[in-house]
Amino acid sequence: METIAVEVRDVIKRFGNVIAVDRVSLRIRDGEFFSLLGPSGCGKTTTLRMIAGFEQPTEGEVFIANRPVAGVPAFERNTNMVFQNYALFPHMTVAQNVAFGLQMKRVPRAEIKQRVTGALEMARLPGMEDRRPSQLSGGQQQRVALARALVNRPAVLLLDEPLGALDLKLRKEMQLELKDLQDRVGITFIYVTHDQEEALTMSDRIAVMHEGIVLQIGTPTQIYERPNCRFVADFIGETNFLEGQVIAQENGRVTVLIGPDLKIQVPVDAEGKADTQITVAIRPEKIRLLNEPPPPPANCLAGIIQEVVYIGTDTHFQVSVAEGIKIRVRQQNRISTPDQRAYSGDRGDQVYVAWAPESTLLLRE
Amino acid sequence: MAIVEQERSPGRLASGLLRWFRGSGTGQVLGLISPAALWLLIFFLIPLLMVLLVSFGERGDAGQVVYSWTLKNYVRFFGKVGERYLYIRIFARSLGIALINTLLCLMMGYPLAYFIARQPTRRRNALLLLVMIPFWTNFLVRTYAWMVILRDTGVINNLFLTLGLIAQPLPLLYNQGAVILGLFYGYLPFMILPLYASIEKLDFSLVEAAQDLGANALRTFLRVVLPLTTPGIVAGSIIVFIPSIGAYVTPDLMGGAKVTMVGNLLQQQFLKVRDWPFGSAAGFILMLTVLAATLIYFRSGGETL
Repeated sequence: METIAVEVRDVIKRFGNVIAVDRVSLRIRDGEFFSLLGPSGCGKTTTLRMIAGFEQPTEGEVFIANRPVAGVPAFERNTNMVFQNYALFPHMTVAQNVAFGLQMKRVPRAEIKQRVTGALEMARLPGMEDRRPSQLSGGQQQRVALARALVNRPAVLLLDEPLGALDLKLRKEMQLELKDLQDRVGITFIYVTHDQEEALTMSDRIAVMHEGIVLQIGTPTQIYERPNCRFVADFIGETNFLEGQVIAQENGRVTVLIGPDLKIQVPVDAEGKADTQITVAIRPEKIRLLNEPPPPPANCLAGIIQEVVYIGTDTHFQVSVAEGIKIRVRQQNRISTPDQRAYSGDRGDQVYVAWAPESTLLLRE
Repeated sequence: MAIVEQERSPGRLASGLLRWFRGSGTGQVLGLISPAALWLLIFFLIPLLMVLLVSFGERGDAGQVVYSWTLKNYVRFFGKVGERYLYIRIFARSLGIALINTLLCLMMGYPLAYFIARQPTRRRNALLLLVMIPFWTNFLVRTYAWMVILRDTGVINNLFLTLGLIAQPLPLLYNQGAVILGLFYGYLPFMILPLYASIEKLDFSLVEAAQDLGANALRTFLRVVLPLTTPGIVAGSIIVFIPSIGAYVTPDLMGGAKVTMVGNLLQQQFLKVRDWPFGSAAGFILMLTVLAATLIYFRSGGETL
């Protein structure tokens, strides 16, 4: 049976009149890499701080290892945090920083020394013991912050946008390193980020938050391939949204009229009601550009290329299929010949945009 | 001709000055510090040397200075007057009062500075203004105000007598306690401001980090907050200690004849007894003591300064 490391149950947090977290419930499994993803001000950091003990929920309860932690101060919780700006003690050396938590727990001196050495090795910081944080690079400071937290062997490691201050390349390296580290230590990670790519890369599961509410919880694949609402589909990756009216239903599919004489097929799980107004989403990379219409059952719309943007790995097209309806298409540049893109159309060309009905998502509003 | 031209084009003058400042490293430094250095030379260093010279002289019969190159004044300071080491006692009393005052200011000022630094910016500025409001009134006036409050027929004694709480007025004024109270009142803002400046700079996520790592409030304070705000403690203590040990007005008005501090001794020697050489020697001993104390304190503050 799976064990739950952290449970957040119906938690509400108000700051004055502002509701920062609005009835959030999470069940984070033992050993899981769990991300809280959302734009700034969505309540993800507040949720993390309530788990750490820096904030108290206005309503609801937090459980760590199945024990309610209301009233347990931060310094008595078996959680450790990696702060956004690392919060390394500037007046202590690297070794003193890492040893701090163990000293507070009155671990014997010999054991502290051994564990600090081990933690610095694990964080790939050999020979840095006597340096000051100010003498380290951003990536190294990041590793010290990790070592300082992990050396305490917490039940849960909380990470508050820990890679935010690093440059892109280092951030990508650290993403993989963090994931690898988590696999090795087997500690539950709760990771707060606004970077959807970061969340997709590292997480076992992601909770997408917006305006204090958890919109969807799922694996990266579920979140990306099956977003349950327009916000999630829009926030994670790029999406084409089409609005239309259901005009027919058969064999688990509905036909949606998205414009004058523009019909598409959308699979539905439950009963799709006829005559209802709905929104569908299609990811740009699921759409192909063709010179001839494909055989059914593919969805296909005729249009005119309005824009072509070459970005190295991909080429982005914008195709106008009707007055006011534009569809973004992304094609990988598989063939490495100059001037030869996957689809060599140009602005003004007549094309067909086509995609499988299975790649079309029906969104609830 | 050239001067006329320069006057017509201030831009050119400015760029010329800039060029001059940018010249050699030493030249630049000398150029920048020379006004202040000149001021200190004329009004501080030379008078100081004059005091030193006078301290090796003797009082003439008419109160004039006779340069006799003697250490007599210093010997007299450390020697007995009648049965008692009078001057050493005055000196020790000054040192004690100054230390107590510094400690009081630190203990009362630190929590207050911490509290102010943790407020939202707007309220912070209002509170700092409140700290500085006493400066809007002359120090002498404020000292007299304290006397009105503390004296036998003052506010407190009158109130207590009327209420029947006491039969005799409490001796609130003209004692060591009154002097310490006056100094504490006068110098508390000088402690709060540097403390505030260094606490305000403290990154409070470090406090959270310490708590997160298992440190309770006391250990967080001792291991993180205190070491990181040491510069403010050192600066505030020095700014309070130095004027406290040399205080003159407060012991004169609030200590009466009973609490003589070094400042009062100097005033007596220079203006009443007209023994400038002995006054100069006492002044020099005070200065050297303050210098030594400050240096030791700076050292103990370590590399954070």
